[in-house]
Amino acid sequence: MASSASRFDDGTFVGFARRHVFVTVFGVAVPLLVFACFIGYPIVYTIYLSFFEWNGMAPQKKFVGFANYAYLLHDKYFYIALVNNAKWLVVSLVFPVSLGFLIAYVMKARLVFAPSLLRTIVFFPVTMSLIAVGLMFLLILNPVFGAFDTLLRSVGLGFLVHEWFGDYRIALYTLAVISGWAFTGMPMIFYFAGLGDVPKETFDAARIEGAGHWRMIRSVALPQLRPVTAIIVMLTLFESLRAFDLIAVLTKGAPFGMTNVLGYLVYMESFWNSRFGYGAALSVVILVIAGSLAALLLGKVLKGAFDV
Amino acid sequence: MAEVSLKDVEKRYAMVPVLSGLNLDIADGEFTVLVGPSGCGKTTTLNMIAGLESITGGTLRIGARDVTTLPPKDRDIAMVFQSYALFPHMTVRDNIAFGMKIRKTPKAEIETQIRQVAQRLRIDDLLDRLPKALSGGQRQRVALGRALVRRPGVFLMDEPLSNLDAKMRIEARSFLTKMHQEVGTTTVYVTHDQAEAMTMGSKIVVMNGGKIQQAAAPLEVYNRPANQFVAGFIGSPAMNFLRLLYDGNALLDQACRLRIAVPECRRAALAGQQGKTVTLGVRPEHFRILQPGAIPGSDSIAFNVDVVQHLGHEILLDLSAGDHRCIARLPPSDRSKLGDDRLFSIDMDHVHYFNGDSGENLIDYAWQQ
Repeated sequence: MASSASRFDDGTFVGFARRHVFVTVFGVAVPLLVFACFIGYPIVYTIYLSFFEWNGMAPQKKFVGFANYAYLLHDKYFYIALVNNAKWLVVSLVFPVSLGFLIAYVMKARLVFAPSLLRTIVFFPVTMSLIAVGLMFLLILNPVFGAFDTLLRSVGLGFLVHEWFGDYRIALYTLAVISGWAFTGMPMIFYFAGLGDVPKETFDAARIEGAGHWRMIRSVALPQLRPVTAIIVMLTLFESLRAFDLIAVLTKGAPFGMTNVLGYLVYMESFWNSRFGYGAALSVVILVIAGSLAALLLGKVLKGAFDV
Repeated sequence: MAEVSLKDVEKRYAMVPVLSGLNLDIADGEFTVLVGPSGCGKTTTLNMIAGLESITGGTLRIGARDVTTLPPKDRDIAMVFQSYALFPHMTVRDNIAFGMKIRKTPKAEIETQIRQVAQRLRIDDLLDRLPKALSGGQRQRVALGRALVRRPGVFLMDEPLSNLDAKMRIEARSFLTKMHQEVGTTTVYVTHDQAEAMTMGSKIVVMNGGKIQQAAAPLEVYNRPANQFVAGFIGSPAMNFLRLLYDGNALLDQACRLRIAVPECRRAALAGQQGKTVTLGVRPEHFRILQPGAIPGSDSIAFNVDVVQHLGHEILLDLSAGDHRCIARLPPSDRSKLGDDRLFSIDMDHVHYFNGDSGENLIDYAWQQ
């Protein structure tokens, strides 16, 4: 046994693979194969497709080089969608992330009655399909018989009643807030777990020094939760770039493309306008934007977040 | 500076009492050590004094004020935690300045105080470092610095030396004692280490099962323990206990033909114990080894040597006689070997007699004084 082990023990991957066949096959080869099939191949094929003009049906694809990218640079709908994505991201960072943190803090500090019940209620929407969430809010925010507008009118706030999905100035924010409602439970649960890891003594020390809740949040909790915040910001970034479901259900980009976001634009160009090549080019741009923002966040904004 | 007074203090968690009837007076400037095994309630008591735990019954006074329901910041206290509780993202300077910034102390005043405290604690070259770049001892000094700049009426310390290695702990012990002598602030110190309690405290409060067992000066607790628990907890190695039958003149164990005569002066204290079991308490240093061939006296026991522990400056012998197990502390010149049968005498002037059931010390030391 000793001789067979030492025969392959040459410090190389091949030597390791020969000695640990099971680990190599099921721990490395199979996951790599799955990754290659379901992630690697689609990415490579999308990049490949972005250099062609193709309607998705024709047997031949026409090679157009960088023409799809050149078109994209002058496409006003792309820029509208890009700006909308940025707005969506800002709303997502401000509303669900801040609210999720505050809910986690008040639960941890036992400032609310029945924190477990609150946690369950806030987390429940995370388990719902965004399609179902969209359909639910379609009814709630219906301008004729919707519960929300009816409530506003009944409490004398009728002047606030809007065409929540029809008014081009607020439609996108309505969608982002609905998305935030469904997403709040996620940062809440992350922060709740993170606060459990912050040493209780640091809060006690701050209390003895006279810190109030605001000071404890600012000076004790949040700085020690930087790794959690880093993960949540990344997740929110990717979620906002993937925004699609709610738009598809609620507005389909209307009014006048003012609620269009990159994810929905890809769908529209590929499956409604039959421009798979251009849709692929848009997808590649989304990939580059996501990668760049992630690198920027990890490298600059959240530098050292995981060192605490 | 301020005195601390606990009157009938209670702590209940959902109707389950964990501390009851705590009465303790800590004089101004006193260094009081709360000591006891894990779960005895010493940290809960400290947290109640700090205001980090609510008091469910009784009153707590610090100085002239009733602070039972006051928040921690209004109690005129500062606390050093077991884990030091330094803010990991702040430099040493910011950690020390944290409370002063909250209290809106002028910047120049903050800087002056930081300099003074840092020089006193010998951490002035560490002010711009983060806690993760400090050793355990340095972190402990920073935590102490943060407490010192408050200039509190009472210092509360929750096992601040337990994260240090043995050598560092001894140094820190002296450092804290010296610091207390210089500053003179009333200090309540929690530890489970009886050596720390003995060396640092001007008063020791021994706790067990949520109750104060004895509160007195260290030597008083060592020499005149109130009960068997205190006697066994204070002292290392612990006091030896021999459960024996009292016949009115001597303590007996028929099974191993053991008979120890009780001195005349102690018989009055044991008057009600005739025919009952009495626990004889003997500290390891109160055994004396007799030369081979010595005639057994009324205070001698034959033991078998089970283990010999050479500590350099002394020897500890693990002994057995029937079911009785004892540890004796002997001078390094002793030549006892494993398996030897040796005769030992007991210094009967220093033994203790405990009630076999309740564990109460049967000698009334107050009366003796």
